[in-house]
Amino acid sequence: MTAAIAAVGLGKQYGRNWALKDCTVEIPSGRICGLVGPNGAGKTTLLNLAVGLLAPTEGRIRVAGGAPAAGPEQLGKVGFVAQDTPTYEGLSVADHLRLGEAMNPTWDRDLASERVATLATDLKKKAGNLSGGQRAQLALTLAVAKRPELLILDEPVASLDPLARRDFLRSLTAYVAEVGVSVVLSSHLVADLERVCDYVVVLVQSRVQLAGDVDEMLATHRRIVGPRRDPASLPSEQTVIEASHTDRQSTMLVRTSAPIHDPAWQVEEVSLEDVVLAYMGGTAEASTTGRPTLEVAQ
Amino acid sequence: MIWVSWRQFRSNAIVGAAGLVALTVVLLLTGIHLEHLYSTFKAERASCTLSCASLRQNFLDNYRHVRLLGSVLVGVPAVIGIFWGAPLVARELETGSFRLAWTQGVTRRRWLATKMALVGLASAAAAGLYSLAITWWASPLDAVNNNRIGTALFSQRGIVPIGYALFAFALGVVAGLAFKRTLPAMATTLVGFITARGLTEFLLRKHLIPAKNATFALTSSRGIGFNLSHGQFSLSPNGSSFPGAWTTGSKIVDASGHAPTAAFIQHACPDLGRFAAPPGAHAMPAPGSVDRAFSHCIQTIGARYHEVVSYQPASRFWALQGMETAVFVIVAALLLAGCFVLIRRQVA
Amino acid sequence: MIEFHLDSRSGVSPYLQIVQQVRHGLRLGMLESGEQLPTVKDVVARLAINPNTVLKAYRELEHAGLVTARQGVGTFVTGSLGPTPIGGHGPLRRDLEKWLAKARRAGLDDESIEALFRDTFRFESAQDIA
Repeated sequence: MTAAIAAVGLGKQYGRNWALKDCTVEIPSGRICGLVGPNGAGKTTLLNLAVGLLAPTEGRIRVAGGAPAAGPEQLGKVGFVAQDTPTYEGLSVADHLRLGEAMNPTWDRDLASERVATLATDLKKKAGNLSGGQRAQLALTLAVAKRPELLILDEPVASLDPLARRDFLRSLTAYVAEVGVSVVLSSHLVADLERVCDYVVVLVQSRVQLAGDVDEMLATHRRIVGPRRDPASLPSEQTVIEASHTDRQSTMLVRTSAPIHDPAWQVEEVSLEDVVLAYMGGTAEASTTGRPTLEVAQ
Repeated sequence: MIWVSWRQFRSNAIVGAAGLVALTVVLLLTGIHLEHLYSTFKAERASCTLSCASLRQNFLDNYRHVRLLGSVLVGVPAVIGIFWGAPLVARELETGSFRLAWTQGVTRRRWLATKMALVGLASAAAAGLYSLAITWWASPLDAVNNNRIGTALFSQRGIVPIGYALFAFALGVVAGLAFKRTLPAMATTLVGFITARGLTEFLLRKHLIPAKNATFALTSSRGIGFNLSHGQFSLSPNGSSFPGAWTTGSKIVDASGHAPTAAFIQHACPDLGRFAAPPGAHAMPAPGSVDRAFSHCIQTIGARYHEVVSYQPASRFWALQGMETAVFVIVAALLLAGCFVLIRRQVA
Repeated sequence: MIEFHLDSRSGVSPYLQIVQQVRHGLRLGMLESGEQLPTVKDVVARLAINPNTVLKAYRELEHAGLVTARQGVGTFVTGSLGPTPIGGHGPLRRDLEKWLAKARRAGLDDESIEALFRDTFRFESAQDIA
């Protein structure tokens, strides 16, 4: 199966600054993949490159098997909801649907009107007068009604209140359940993605720090607490991701392929957020200490 | 995609159409009356004996205020460039809606081409209709004045306003793409348009077709003048050519193309210093008392020198209109082609 | 029909929570044979979770012989979980008591015994599924 997004050595330069540099990443299709990373990690740049709004300065990127925005066919394969969900302020909701229909040969009119009906808003209302949540839903409608193979969403819920956020994710997941589309969505908040995503890519300073299946990540990571101990003395099947020590105690987040039997350790389960933060945190020292990065093969 | 472009342009189009309709109504009502006045004037002129000049002036004084609509036409292309051209892409870039537009199932190139074609055609149509209406309305006045070529009227008549409008529109679009912001694009469009128009008006137009030359003998009736500067005399040509023509240059030369030297003038007209006005005055007329001496002086100079006048005859009005329109349309096309290069580069 | 809910602080992964809720419903008689489970789309639209999570839970239940998926119709309860036979409890409880005594002798306090049990238990069930 072709990857949803596959980039090799991808870079984008603005003046003297690199918004993304030497980024190599592969996001599998058929998943809801969360692209997580701190602000400035290059998430938006990567996604804009993927939909062809930007042209790379260096490197290559293939999206749903084709070059980004290479032609009408490729544009039809990829649906995009941009950051802050831009719409045409002066155009009504109905105008937007007509616009989508006029600009997309694969437009599904029934799907669009069905989705807009759940928005509970006047079709004649101007997009500029919609609430943030409604506007995001409208942008999502435009992106899904063209029946893409891959749906890319850039921080879709960042600016929404909790209720609108949940509604948005509900309608996104319901759509995915119905048509089985690949999804890549970015967020700087792991909590937004925890339930929605089954695959996570953590991007820090253009580098993939962690990429893999969420369930597998949760099953293989543990936090262990016990008397102070040198991380190097742990069994070989345990890899330390993050460690902190007091003079008596050691707390470590480890990746392990087997249960931890050592009675000295108090073993705790970790949340996705714990895992992601552990891989994200202290990446500055990653190169010097040789902190491992994880690639879970799928 | 045509619908999308139309929907986004609709409110602008309505404003433009409303303006054109109002203009047409005013010009139609006054224009019909003006036609009527013109036929009356022609009948009176055929039989006039004494007050022909004031009859003419009276006719030309009709609808002075409506005539200002012709001057307004000069600004119409600039308005089109600023309000239709500059925001065309710049507003999309500014508001971020390009991220919506460019990720639909239509290529960026087709999106741009459709918008350009629709709004560009509207620009040409608006300026063309305006010019058509004014040209028709003013035709009686222009016929009497016989001054459509070589004056500011040239750019308020015929087809050149279409070229200007297309150029201003293209300038606006390309500036919008270059600056990615509407306001700087608007300012650039205005400045660029005024510059281009000024250069055309004062430098380019008279060279579009090589000027014709006419040679006039120097006689006292042709009324050439003498200039005195730094104690030396020179001749200033009369400069008039033919009725309705546009004089683009004139000079007094001999058979080999040389102008008379100050020494020659002094020699031919030894009495010049006597009836010279105080230093600094120029184009001194010949007062009655020195008429004879002056005639002699001109005769002496005229034996060797003659006046050459370069001009564009009135009959070249449409040829010049066509040339100038073509120049502006070609430049507009080049600018629009440049937009496709710009939009392919990264924009966000 | 059963309605699922998720406790995001339980530390139990969402798909396991769904599996547990179905088992619980069967055991308590809230779900009966022939009854339909909510469609994947309905669950997803209600909980805003990944559809694969629901599919995984339903597959797991199918594997355990508790439900059957009918193509294009939905997922139906076909098995049952009667109350666990009491007969099996006695010996198991005695084994556990022995193990607890062993753990205490080894110096483990109540919290660490609980943590050890929980972790081993979860790891085992995760292994079973994987």
